[in-house]
Amino acid sequence: MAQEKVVSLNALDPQQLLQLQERLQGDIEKFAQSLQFFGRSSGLYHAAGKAINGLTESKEGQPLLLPLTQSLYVSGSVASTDQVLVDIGTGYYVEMSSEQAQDYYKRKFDKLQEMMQGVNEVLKGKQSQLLQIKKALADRVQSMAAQQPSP
Amino acid sequence: MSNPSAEAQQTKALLEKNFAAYKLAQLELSKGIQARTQLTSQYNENESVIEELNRLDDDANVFKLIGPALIRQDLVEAKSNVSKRIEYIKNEMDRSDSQLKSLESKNKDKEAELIKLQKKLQSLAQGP
Repeated sequence: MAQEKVVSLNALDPQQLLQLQERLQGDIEKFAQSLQFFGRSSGLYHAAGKAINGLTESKEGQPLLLPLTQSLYVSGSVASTDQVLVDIGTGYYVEMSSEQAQDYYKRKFDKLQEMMQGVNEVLKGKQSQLLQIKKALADRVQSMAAQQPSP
Repeated sequence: MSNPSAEAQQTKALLEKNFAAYKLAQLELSKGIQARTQLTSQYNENESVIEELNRLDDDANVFKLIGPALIRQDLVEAKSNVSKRIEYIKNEMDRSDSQLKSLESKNKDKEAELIKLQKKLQSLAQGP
């Protein structure tokens, strides 16, 4: 399989190889970006799940400070430790018990992990392709340099 | 035939004109692709929302953010609203797909035309 790849790469002229390399590099960048994005999002889901954990451990009526902005807080108190409102997207919010919400965030987190694994595999494939192309290009340059002085 | 340099000039002008048109077509295509990507992400978001709504008990409290306020929604109504939106987005995606196809073929045509003109110009330049 890998052997076949190398042969077909050798059939391409250097310009085509360069083009291919450029395209692959672009692809790799895109995939790496989405991977980063997925990582950040799954971090947010994880943090939300942990926040619910913290909430269940606190008592009803317990005082807390609510952030209105990053630097402005008002005091409040915990109204309920087992009911939360979850943003499920496109402007819809659902009242859930803390177990339901934990389950929701866990599912989202797992789904993202799964997707990240998929993207990672594609990324690895592209990276090894890129390596092969780079090698083919270097070989080509070398053989050209070797031919140059002889005639 | 008239003298070759005049023809070369003509071809060159035509080439420039076609190149501008090609650039424009490419811009249109990339805009189309962007729109299509946005539709896909909207579709995915709505799909995950309907999936969540379908998991809920019938007596679950659902709210919709309208402006700055959360308005209580009937679950059945919310489901039908999201389904309708998914339907609509699907149609938009189909429309966008066929549009992209025609844009792509237009791009290919323009590219072929450019290559043809370039070759012609080259042969004119090399000619006697």
